[in-house]
Amino acid sequence: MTSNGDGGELGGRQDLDGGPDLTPRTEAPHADDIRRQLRAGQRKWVASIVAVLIVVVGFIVVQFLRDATLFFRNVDEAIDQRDDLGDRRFRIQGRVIPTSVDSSSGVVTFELMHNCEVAGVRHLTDPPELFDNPWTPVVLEGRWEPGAIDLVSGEDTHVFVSDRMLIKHTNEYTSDFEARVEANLPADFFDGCDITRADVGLAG
Amino acid sequence: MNSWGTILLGYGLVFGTIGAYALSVVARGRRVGKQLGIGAEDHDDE
Amino acid sequence: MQQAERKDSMTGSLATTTLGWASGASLIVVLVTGLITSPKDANQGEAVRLLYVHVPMIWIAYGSFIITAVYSGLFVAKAASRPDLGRHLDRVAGSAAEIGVVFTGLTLVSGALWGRITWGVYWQWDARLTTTVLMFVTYLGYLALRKLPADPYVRSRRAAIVALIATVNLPIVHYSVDWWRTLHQGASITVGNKPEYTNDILIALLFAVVAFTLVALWLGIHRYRVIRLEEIREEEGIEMAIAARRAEAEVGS
Repeated sequence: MTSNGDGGELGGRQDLDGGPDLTPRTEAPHADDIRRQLRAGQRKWVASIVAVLIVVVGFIVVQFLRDATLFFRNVDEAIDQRDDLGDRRFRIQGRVIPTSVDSSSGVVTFELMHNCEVAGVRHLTDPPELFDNPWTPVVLEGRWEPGAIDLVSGEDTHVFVSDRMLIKHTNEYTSDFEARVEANLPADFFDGCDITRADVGLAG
Repeated sequence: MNSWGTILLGYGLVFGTIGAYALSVVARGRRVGKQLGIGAEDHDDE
Repeated sequence: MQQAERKDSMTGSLATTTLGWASGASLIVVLVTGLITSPKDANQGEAVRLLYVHVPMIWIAYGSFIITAVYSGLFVAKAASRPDLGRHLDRVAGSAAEIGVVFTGLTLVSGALWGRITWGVYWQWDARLTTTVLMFVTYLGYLALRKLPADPYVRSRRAAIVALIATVNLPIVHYSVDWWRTLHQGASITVGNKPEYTNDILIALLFAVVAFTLVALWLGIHRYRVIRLEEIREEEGIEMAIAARRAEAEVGS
């Protein structure tokens, strides 16, 4: 509360709240000044929200550059780049050959196919529920480890050992259970491959 | 099958959030309207 | 009683009340079709039911942000010469953006839950998920900017320019599944292509899209009216403060 009533008082008036009273003594305050004062209080918290948002956006961009631009390598690329990759951790993508799945030894082993190339996989954790779908595309996180293995495509010198599986389900939706293998598998999946449909237990 | 729990949680969150947002919009409208005296007898329209 | 209720519903009208009831009823139908009558997916099983909430959320979010972009563009072009039209354009842009943010948030939440069942994880920083969360944060920033105290015209113009910049991200989000390798599936319904759905699933999805669109429309109209009321209150508040300070100054002089 400011005492304004005594016209004879001289010197700068003091606001009891501690801050200087900027109200002009002899003329009515300009409307824009008052608008500015009313809004000044809100500025601080809005500025802090904006600062937080900038930090969040920065974090997202860093994640994107690190992760999203090359989310996975396809089986054929991972085999081509095996020497460069060494024992580095990366993600590999391909379709699980249903007839190759074996979980009798406690870990799940299977073969992963993409672009006519096949990789042997030893997966160390529990696969997600949809792993049971025939020919489902999956993304695995892990690394190449040396070890002779017999695959549908022939012998190989390395196994992909993974501890993380993501099911990269397709964009097909069907209530027709009979047709789901064909729905999951692109029509041209075996085109140009040495491996035939019969090699992996498919008719036709 | 535990996926039902997740599905119901998803539906609950979507329908619940939309419902809560709708209520907040209507409530905000009422509050501001009352502050402005819209519909009140003593509204002074200058 | 009815009179009192009508006075209370500050942002309602007969048309929006009808729209409200229609959208409420259609949401109940979505619950029935989505959770009960629609079939299991051959691959995903019951998890496909999250399709009926996830996909409408993102389509409405896209639609809302496109409305924000169009009205922001019109604001920049016309508001200087036609202030009243400018305020209308700004209100539409603001209310659409807020609805877009709510629905993008729900896209992220429903998608994470769906991902938990199908992919096996709630979240991965793949291109689709990353650009979507970036879109969410960008429009949150836009909404924060709209609250920044400033002259209304300056504030709206600033917001409109930010909205136009934010629009650049929309096609990036949509085409991210084609431009980059993503865990997220590709688009299932694209113009000129046969949808990758059997009819029973497609019909349930399209109905859900219509139902949630009605809801979004209802929300948008009410949000617009609330913004208008808030503008009036802000102006009245400022006028009253100015009057009070002037009176105070006059007594002091």
